[in-house]
Amino acid sequence: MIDWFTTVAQVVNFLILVALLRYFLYGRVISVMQQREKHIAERWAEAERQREAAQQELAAAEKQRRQLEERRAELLEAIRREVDAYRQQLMGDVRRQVDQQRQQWLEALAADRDALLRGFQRTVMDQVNTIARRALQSLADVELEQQIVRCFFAQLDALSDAERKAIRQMILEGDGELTVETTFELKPETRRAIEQKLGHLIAQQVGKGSDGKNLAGGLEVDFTQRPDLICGLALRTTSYRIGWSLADYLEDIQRDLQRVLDQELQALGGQRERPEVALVGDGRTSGGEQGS
Amino acid sequence: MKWASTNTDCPLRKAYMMDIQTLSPDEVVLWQWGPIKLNYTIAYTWLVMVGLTLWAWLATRRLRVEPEISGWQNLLEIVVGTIDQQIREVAHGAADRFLPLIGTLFLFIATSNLLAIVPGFHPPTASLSTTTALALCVLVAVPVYGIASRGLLGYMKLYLEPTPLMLPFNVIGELSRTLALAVRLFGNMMSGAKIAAILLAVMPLFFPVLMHVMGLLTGLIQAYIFSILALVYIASATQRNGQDNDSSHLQQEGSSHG
Repeated sequence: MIDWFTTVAQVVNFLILVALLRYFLYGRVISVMQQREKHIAERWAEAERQREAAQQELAAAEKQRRQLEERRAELLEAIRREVDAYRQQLMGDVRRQVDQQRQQWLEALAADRDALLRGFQRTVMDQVNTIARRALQSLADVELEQQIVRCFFAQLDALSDAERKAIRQMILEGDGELTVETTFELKPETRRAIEQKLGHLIAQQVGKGSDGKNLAGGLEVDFTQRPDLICGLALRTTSYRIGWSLADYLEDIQRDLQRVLDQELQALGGQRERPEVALVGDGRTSGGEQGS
Repeated sequence: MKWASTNTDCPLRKAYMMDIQTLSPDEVVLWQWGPIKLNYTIAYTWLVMVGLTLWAWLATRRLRVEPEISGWQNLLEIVVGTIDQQIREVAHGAADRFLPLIGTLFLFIATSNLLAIVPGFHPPTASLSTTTALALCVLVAVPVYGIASRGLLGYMKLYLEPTPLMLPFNVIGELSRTLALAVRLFGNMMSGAKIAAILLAVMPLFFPVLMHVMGLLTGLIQAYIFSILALVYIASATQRNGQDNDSSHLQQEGSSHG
């Protein structure tokens, strides 16, 4: 069965084949495979290294991006604040200007109104005054003045002690110069009656004082005519004046009228100056919400 | 020098004559000069050798290191890589020393067995002389690798284990497993070839195709068993005590196959 020559030949053949394949096949293929594995390992390591580098760069870029984002947000916030402040300032300016203009306008209006009312008032008063004056002038005469003098005496008599003292003091301070103003020429007996009455008044007082006699003797009464009194009598020293006349009454009326009209005007002006409508709306809230 | 003859002078006729009566391709002698003769076994062995060498040479001419490789190189690398991996699994690393021997055993046997499907091809592995030669190679390789790995004394001590009483049995085991290697491969291949020849004579259609497919499978399995057993023998002779268990386990497994 076993051909020993063939067996030996086959052993030799096999050994030759081992040598051939070892040279042509295993060495080369294994070497190539090892090289490739090494190559792949190197590339893998390189890829790993690059991946790590890329990740680091990514992290750095991410960080930078976040910083930029934050910086941008800060800048935006700052700009928004600045714009808000500027807008507030502008709004304030505009509001102030509008208020100011409104105030000026209101003031001008009030001034116009006041001027109109004053003119009107003055006209009314002048008219009333003129009418009264004309009426009284046409009524006034000497008889009426006599009546007024009597009335003046009655007033003097009705004076209290303090008032008398004040009049006396007034006369004393006037250095004895005393002027009686009337509208019409007084009769001499009327003048005498007045001098007597005044002298009597002072004497009454002086009787109680120290230097009354000297004064009573030197009392000089000067009588003058003043048509603008309309009808009446006034007692005047250098610094004081008392009396009763229709002109005084008219002046009192005019003063009262003036006062009442002024009060009315003030009340009217106070009502008008109150702001009725807010002219400038507050746009800040809506603007802020849009911006956010 | 003359053409030796059995019955006829024509080689083609001889190929035809290689039939049921002829048990081994050794018997078909093509050329003889004294004791030196060229029979089918040697001739087809040369054919296989030339084919394998040519394939290796052509395929390894333009090897590329880059990952993009040709299909031939891919096949080559799969074959060599698989053998390499098998050796590493059995021998626990150090595959480089065993790869030429074990790899060539596998490639030679597998190629011979697979080419049996080609009409007119007579696998040299169906000759007991060839399988004996291969088994002898393994028989010699075991002590060579063992002594190279453990030293002479270290290797010799393996025959005295577990006790010196086991020495005869170890020697007998060594010889018998070599015999088993040779006879297992021969028996399988010879029977495959004979069954194919017989079936061709009895039932020429369809059924031989099935048998050929089975023959391919058997051929590959035998190549695998032969080379893996050789590897186990060599590995068990070279490895340290701690690793011997795996090898002996595989050895038992391999013995139960053929």
